[in-house]
Amino acid sequence: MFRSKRNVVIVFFVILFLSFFLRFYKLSSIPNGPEWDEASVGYNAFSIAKTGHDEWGNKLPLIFSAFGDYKNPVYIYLSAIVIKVIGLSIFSTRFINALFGSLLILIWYLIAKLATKDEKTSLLTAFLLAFSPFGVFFSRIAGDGMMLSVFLISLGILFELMYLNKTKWIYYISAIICLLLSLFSYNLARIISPILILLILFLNIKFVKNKLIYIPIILICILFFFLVLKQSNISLQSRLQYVGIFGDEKGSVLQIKEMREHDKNSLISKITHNKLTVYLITFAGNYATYFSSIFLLGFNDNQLVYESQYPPLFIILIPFFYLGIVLLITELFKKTDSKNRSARLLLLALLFIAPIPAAIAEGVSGKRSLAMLGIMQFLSAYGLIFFINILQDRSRKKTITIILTFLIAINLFHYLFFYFFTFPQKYNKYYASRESRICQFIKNNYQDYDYFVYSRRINGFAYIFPLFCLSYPPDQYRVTRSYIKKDGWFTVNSFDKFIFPDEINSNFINGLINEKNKKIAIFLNEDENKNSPLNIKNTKTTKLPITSEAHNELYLYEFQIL
Amino acid sequence: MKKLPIIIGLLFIFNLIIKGLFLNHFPNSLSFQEVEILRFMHINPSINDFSFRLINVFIGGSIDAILFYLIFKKTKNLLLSLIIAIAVGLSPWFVVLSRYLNYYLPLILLTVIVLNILPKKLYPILIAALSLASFRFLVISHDLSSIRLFSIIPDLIRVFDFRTLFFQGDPSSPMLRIPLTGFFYYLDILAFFSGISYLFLINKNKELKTFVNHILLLGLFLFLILPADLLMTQRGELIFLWISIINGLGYYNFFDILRRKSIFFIYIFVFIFSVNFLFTAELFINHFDKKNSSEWSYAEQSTIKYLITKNNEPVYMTNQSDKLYRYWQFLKEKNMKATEVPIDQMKELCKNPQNICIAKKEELSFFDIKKDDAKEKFGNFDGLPIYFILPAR
Repeated sequence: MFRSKRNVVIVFFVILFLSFFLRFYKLSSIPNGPEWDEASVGYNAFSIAKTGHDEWGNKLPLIFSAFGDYKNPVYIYLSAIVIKVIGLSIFSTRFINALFGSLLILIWYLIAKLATKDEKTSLLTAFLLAFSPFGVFFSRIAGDGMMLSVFLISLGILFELMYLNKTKWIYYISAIICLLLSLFSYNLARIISPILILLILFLNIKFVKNKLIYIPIILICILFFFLVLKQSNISLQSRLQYVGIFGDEKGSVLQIKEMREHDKNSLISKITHNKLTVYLITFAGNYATYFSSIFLLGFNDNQLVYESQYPPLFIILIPFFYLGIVLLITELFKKTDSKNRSARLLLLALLFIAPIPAAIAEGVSGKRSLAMLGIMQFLSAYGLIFFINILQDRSRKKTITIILTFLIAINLFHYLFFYFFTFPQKYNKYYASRESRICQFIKNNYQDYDYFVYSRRINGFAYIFPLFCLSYPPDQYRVTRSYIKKDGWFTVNSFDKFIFPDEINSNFINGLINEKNKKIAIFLNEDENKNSPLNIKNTKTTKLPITSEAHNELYLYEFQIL
Repeated sequence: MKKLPIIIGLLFIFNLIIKGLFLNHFPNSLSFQEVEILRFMHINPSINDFSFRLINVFIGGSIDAILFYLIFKKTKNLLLSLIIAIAVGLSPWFVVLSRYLNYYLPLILLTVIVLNILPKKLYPILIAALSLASFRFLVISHDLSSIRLFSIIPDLIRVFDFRTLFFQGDPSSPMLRIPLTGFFYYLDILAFFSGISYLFLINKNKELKTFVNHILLLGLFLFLILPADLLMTQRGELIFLWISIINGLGYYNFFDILRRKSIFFIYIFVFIFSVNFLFTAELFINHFDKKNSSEWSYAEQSTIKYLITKNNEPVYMTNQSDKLYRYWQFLKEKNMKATEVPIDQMKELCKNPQNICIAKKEELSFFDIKKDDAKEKFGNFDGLPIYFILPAR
């Protein structure tokens, strides 16, 4: 079937079409949204598209302050282009990730083809990636541009393989530029890409004929280095303290204290239980998780957004994934030409470097290990094709191929059913479902009320939702808002008709009501509703429950001041 | 081979040292499981003498010696057999399981004996499986409902998780978990991969492969038939034995590769392994008891040690202190008496200063006594007090 080039092209385009379909079908509604990071990314992109400034008024920033979490710029700038054309919406905010998540299939098809020169492995890699649970899930949320980041890293790898194949300087420089660009797309690249760049520089030393190529490479690296330096002290440091295993109040440090207390702070305990040993052990344990059953077979069931709640690989592929790793390592020691070996080394390096960002954080995280996407599918395909090829008996080969195809198909349909039917029912409520309802209400009734009030107990960064869903003019927002900055985070208290107190109680409402005939809409969550300000004098009060969905109860109080 | 009995003897002694050294101190208290077994055997030890644990130390040593002989018989490779036996003998899970009295270690002994003595034509794997099943249903428990088929897959996923195996240890309870480490040494993770590749890609000895595969199959079988609420260390012991053997093969593979490069690398490797061993030993000696003191009933035994010093004063405790009472029944010295009484009766009894009254923390309010007013307090190593000796009122 794959002997004719035409057939290969047809099959590939069918896979590519399916991958686009799976990533764009119902993009606005599955998962629910906008989730708060998406709303922030979308509104900043909108602000850039409209005014050239971010929500805080910084002109074309290199890093976006956002909530105080400092978002990377590449995804926001690319989204700004899309939003300029089709307007601000959940679809336009997620568009870039969905697009690059779909194009990732093309990149890995080419990587597999260059690495193996085998059409079957390349097409199978593309197929597995098209239907990959992580691939589909992470392409359909904007996040901070995590899929874009994986795309840029993979593109860098592809260019390097092309360089190893044809030794054209343009590929070398393109590889370096892609990896450097990925540094500004998502934080995981800040750990992976520098290591890959160093490895590429090292691998290419013996293949570079004209040493002049190092001049543009060094200049580009210096430029990017300064750009990273300019933003790194505010972004990466705060990020590491926030999510990493290294903070002073983190479990590993508390463990050191406990162990030393057992030994009454003896010299032995100081030698054996210190930050170096405990961090190293914690890191190694976390790292091992990403090659273990807990991660590879893990059906998570948590309330976290940005977790696919489904294993990254189809279960049946796991033995072939391991086989693929063994094969690639074995080939590394075979006496083949050095370019071939360099290509394999690069792919293995990607596999083993990819979990590092996740391993230095606490807990098992799909999004932080997302750089494993692509290489996992490639190794699974590589292992599977090898396994089928070593079967000598033709009828046995056919039977096993049919059985494996059947098992993969079952897993595939199970996943699709899970993602498009089970997931929305079970997990949509964690994707700012309550905020979406408030947004919808505000959108439909903006003119009917003088104030909209909801506390930050509904959402810590409540202000971003009305900004997003009303596509509120950024210039106007900057003039009317009031905010404070505390512990590095921005807290918006009000803008235009919107007020976001810390907590809503009778005192707050009484303080607010001082003008006659004003109409106020107040949104309360379940806890606030229990202590709700029902007895406000001189008001006409209407209570309308908006939703009683578990964990997302929401009530609207309408006050008319008499 | 003439040296073989000497090697087996030395291996046995090596195991006795590793597993039997400071047996009274680590673990330094009796587990509830041990109490149950000793009562069943009608043995009443003193509170400071745990020499009955030597039974398991001997079993552990025998397992390793038999395993060495078995592998040597199959491979005729002395170095390989010795490295595997040392890797198994030093495995943290095996050391811990051999240092306290339990029903589960004899299951491994049974398996290796059956696999060793029965000829091939008698299908030793089937007989071993039958023996394991008989032991489980006759000795451990004949309750079939404790097997939970639906949880087998998730449980097995947890057993085969690298983080659990090499860095975290038993997730079901900290009782047999050495803090900060897993069932194996950190370095074993490399040996494991090396061992797998050696067994399936390099090794040409079919008998060795079959034997190792049989251990795995029996391990899975035992995992299936043992009660689901058992500790993972106990339930998965044969699977862990399989992993330890694989690790041994891996170390042999490393040794084989390194000796071809330079002897210097072997020294480095031995040095790294020794550091790992000493680190784990430190964790076991200094932290195992302290971190897991609740699981090893440290509070109950401290209370009883105090009561023993009080000679023949009558002791009263509430029904809430049932665990303490059961330990007391077992560890008290002759002629000493304690009575379990309902809490309302105890109030009256405690008025007599001759009586020793013990209450738990949650019962103090009933006696109208604050924690600081108690005569003595007993708790786990670094936990809050659990048992309080009440003042006479």
